[in-house]
Amino acid sequence: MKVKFIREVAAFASADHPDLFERDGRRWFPVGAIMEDPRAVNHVILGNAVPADEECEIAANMTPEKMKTAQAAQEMALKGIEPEDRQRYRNGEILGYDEDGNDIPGPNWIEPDDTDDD
Amino acid sequence: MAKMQTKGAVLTYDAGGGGAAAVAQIVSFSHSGAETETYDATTIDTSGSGREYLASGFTEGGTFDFTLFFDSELAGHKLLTADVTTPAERDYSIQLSGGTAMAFTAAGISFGFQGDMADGVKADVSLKLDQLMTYTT
Repeated sequence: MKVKFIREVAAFASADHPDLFERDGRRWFPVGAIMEDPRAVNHVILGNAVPADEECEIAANMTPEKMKTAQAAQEMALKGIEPEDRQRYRNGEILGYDEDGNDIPGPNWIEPDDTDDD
Repeated sequence: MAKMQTKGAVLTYDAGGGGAAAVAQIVSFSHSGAETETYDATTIDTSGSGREYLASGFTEGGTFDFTLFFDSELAGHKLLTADVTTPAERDYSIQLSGGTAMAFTAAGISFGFQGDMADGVKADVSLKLDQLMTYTT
């Protein structure tokens, strides 16, 4: 069963793939890498990849819309977006958090209302 | 020296072939129970009243526990419950905000969920570590 990664995906020690590269002391699958594994369909279901063969397409059984939803959810999870900030992320108000946990402003950033005590 | 924020931390697991995927909707996590094993080495001729302890040379890996808003239809959460029904070792990694990833292998999983009128449905997950976490040293 084959999948094609749509984002860079961190690799665990068990990963064995010719395209793996190193960054920040960790190995990564590059965008476009094809993985063949009996459990590879999980990467489609979880939004890391798209099917790269018919077996995987059948196993995933997902419409393009469902895949898009899974990919967006995985992107937020990988960035550690907290449940209460998800809508702000989707709206483009934030891109994520910096190392201090502060919001990284997005293109649709809204300045917080300092007068709001809540 | 820094104070690391919980916000932005990411827990990932091996979703297949050694590729990582993030576990969504986590609200808290903790790693505990890692300790070097010791034994009571006190003998009747031990001097003084204090008991003697020595390291056995083994270390208990402990557990990694987390709580999440449970979505029974979410594929990533189904992967957790699949490990309950079909036991399997799985690699995990916790990336603290601004820090390096610390990896570990879960030999087993404990899972349960609960609801409260004043809260969303939450699941408590406990992972039993196989050997030790790869701490940042």
